[in-house]
Amino acid sequence: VARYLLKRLVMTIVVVLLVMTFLSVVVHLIPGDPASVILGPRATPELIEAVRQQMHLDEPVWKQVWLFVSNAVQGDFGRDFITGLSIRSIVADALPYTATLAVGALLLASLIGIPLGVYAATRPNTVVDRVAALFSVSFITIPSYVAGLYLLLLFALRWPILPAVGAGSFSHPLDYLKHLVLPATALAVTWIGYIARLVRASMLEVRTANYIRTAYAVGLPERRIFYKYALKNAVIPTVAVLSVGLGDLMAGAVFIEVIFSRPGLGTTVVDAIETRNFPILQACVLVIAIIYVGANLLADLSYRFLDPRIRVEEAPAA
Amino acid sequence: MRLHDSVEELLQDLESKGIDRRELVERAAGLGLALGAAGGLLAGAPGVAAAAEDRAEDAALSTQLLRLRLDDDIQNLDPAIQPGHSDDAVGQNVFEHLVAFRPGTFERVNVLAEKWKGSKDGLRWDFTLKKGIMFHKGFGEMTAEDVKFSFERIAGLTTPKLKSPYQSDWAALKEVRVKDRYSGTVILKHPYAPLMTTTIPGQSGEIVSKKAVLEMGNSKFGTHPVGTGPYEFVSWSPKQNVKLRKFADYSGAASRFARQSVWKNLEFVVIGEDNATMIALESGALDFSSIPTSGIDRFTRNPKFNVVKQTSLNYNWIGMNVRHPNLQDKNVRLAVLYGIDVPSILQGAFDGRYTRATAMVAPGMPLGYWKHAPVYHRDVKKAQAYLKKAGKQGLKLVMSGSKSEPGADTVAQIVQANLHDVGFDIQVQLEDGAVFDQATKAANKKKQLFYTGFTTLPDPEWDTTWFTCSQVSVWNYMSWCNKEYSKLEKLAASTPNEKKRNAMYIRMQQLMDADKIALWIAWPTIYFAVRKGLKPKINPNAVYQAWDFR
Repeated sequence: VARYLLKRLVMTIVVVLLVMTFLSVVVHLIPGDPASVILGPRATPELIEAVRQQMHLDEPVWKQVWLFVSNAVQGDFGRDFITGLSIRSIVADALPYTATLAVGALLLASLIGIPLGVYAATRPNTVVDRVAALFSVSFITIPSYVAGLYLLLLFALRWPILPAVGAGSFSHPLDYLKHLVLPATALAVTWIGYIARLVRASMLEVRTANYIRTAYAVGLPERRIFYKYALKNAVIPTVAVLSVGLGDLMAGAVFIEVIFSRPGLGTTVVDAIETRNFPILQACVLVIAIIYVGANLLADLSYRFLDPRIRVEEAPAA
Repeated sequence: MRLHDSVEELLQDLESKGIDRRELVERAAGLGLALGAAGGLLAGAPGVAAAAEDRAEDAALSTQLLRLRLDDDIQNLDPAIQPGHSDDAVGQNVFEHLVAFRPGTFERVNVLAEKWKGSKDGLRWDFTLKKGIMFHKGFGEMTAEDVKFSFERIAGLTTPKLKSPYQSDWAALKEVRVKDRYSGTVILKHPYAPLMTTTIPGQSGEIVSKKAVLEMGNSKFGTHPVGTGPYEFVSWSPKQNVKLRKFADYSGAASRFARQSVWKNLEFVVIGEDNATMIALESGALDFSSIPTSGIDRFTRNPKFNVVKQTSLNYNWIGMNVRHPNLQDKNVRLAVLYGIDVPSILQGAFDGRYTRATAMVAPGMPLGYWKHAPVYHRDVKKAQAYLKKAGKQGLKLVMSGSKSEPGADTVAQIVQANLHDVGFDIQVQLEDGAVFDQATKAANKKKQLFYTGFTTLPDPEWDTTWFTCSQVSVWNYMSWCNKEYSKLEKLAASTPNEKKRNAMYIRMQQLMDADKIALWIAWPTIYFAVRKGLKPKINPNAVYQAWDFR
């Protein structure tokens, strides 16, 4: 296990390093001069040049890439030229908002999607199954930003029971939770449908497995067969998808954060792109990439933990 | 038993204080009551529900809190840095000027200055400060040293030198000579006419606490500003809000021309997206915000809001790069001018809500408005004749624009269709805002036909300065270089006499028109949704001071 873990960790580090390098090269392909955008039209050419030097924009691209990668490895992203704040603190402040939003959405999607899938699988090809399929597919087709706007119209405007904008403060958990409900639901909608369909398909596949037929044959109660034996195996592909889904949810959070005017990595990235604030942009995208890679690693490990067959397959032949 | 008491308390509050529906639901939930039960409370208190809702509307405008939208987050509130209009909107409540505009007007009034007088040659400006003006956060009384520090810091005359993007505002400053604790003289190297229109009353004229800046350092001061204004800075939650609190020791520097501020707290809520803004207004999360033209009818119909409008000083236009081979011939440019239907653009792109521009300087500008500027009406035959004269029928042109300019896509489509009728072949190319506006000189040289808009300040200098010869391919995308224009532009900025300046700015616009380089489209009108009961004063340049809202 230790060897496997080490191998995966080394691979993860290599991927992150590659992402860092690629990222800092790609960022410089974006047209527009950051110094001019930051300083505005009233700045003198001398000042623009001075800021370009300060931001190392006068250096060759390879040197800028090296500076970014070597500093980032040490956790140093520099200081934002305008606010004077440490970029690490800007990202660290934004990250919890996006993380709670993505994790909240994932939890919500699992809490609704898994039972919906199981329920449909217990009644295949019935009216209940078809209605569940209708809802699931409909949910999959709704983009999160459309769901967000409708949720706002319904629960912030028609029945004003939840706040329309902002994220509240971590120091007021209830208020924070209230601000989280609508955006997390908007973000979760697609995944509810997706998970429901996935769980249903897995459950139906597992139902025909020998061990399930054996369980039926020995007269175990159906409820026990379903929830104890079938679901445990059927949920394995879902766990893998959920882990990868965390990365997608982080990306989807961009729209939701803009619509609900929430702070987070998404809005920070959007603002950084608009103002050509490369250091902040690089730091944010790097963090998102690390989360994505980390989620994949977690998926691999959980897969291995949940499915003993993988451990057996990987074990050296006797 | 306690639960029962609490429910009774809730019912009593419902009847006596008129708590709103949201508070009722929250408190009922806190008592473990279901939503249905909360609804039952409302239903069980005849007449209370409606009254509670009415009172809730009034309560939204209690003097406790005024909530305004920022369409962009703040970044740095230091007047020497303030990179955006959001920083300025917040900063105007925290900082004050020696002399400023009376809210809602361009009338100059003394704020921190007891006396303010300029010499005849415009080179020396003596000031005497009001006594007892206190800085926020216990940074003491404002003195002439603070004035010297504030102005010289932006001018780059302090040590260490600050690299302020607004250095050009104080480029004429030689020094601020302090006479005593409360008086001094602003000494200029040469006369600078916009000093009293955009520098002193503008963000470059805001007075900071020298002690606070030196103690905190430039970086920290930007997010912990200390001024003398009616409101002091409380907190900034990035991408969420900026909170200000009424300054308890406010010395009332503005008391001679404005009443005392009424709001105990100001909250600037960051909402970038227009639809989210409109929902936030309707749901009660905002009291005041600018709205897009598409939302005007929605808020005009809403009984809880008034819609207030103000034509800005900004200008939008379709420009032509005269150095581009396709547009060097004046006949081609005339064909474009007569081929485009401006009223259709105003209707199609801006729902007919913008004011048509006939020249660069807007009528609201204190001077420089060209009242008798020609108005170009669409005349396809005339346009075709000019194109034929140029021998360029079927000419392919690229129409570019910035995606961040509202309505740019519709404008481009209408221009494309209009000019197709004339015989042009227009290819539309919209670019990201930062790409279009911050393009390199080489890229700007390639611009042909383009639609854009420039924002400005209450002095025509900030309209005309971008079209001189030295700005060719920088901000002067039309690459138009007229020596008389450039000379006049320089001269007007240093001419104290307003009549003479007025004539100069009109002449400059006439020179532009003579070369047919631009078709002026609009002086954009800004629309604001204002919660009923709130009385904002909007300046003629469509900016506002929240501290003065009633």
